[in-house]
Amino acid sequence: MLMTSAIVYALAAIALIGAGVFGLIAGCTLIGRIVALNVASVGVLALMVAFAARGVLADPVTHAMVLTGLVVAFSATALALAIVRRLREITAEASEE
Amino acid sequence: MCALVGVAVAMSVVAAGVWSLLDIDAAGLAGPAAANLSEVGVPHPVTAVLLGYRSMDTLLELGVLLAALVATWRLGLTREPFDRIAGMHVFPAYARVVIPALVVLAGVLLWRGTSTPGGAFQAGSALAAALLLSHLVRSAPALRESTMRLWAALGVIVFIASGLFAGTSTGAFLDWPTSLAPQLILAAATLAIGITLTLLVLGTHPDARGADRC
Repeated sequence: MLMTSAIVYALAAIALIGAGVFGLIAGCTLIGRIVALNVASVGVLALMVAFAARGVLADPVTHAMVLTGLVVAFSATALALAIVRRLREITAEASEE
Repeated sequence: MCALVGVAVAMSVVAAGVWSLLDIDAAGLAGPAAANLSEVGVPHPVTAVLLGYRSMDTLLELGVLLAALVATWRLGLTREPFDRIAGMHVFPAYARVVIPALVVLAGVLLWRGTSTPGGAFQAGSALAAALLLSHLVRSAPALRESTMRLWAALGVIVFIASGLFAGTSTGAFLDWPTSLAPQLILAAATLAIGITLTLLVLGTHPDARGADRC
């Protein structure tokens, strides 16, 4: 197959997914793991955008799903960061006692 | 180190699969989406998908935002000033210029969402950025708890209500006739998304006190 831009994009997206999953498994800090999860989700969305670039016209249904995925990923990140905040509060309370 | 090797192997397998299966000349759904565009009544294909073809997905997306907000409120975070949590200081002169510009940008994104890339979620994000900036300079609009809950739930409520209302006339839930302006629904959704995103980032329940909670 030719190295069209969609295929290059798809391979870069897979590399992003790999980097994100590796950071999620081997991350040192909680915040680092949340960032790695974000990188992996951006990789998945980029893979979907690459799949949408087949054919002459861009596929709007896949693009709309990427938009939905962005919002859901942002909500998940916000909830994860709130959980980290609560965890720090609990840890600070426990270490004060 | 075995995590690195494992992830590299897994990603190579995925890449090989994509390489062999990515049929670069496949048509996709662009043809049928463009062909039925007149039924939805919106010129831009992605907006037509979000509002017309897959409006159930948009409804569930608003529901996901609301669910994340409820889960964040249930955590019971201590109320703190937002600029201390964020650890940044914003000059009020900068905020005085940028906040109105962001609100206008939200309106422009919402209005242009029918014909160019834009729409309710992008406009809601710009609105949330304006509200969070106002929290950073400690001049946020003071809302009561019941008002904030209502505005956060407004998007889902208006979406379902208009979908039911349109469904009574055309027989299918969320089947909007082209005459019913989707802009009103999108405007309510934009306000709801802006407020929900702001409350998500702030994190604390509206009537949480400083130190004690159940």
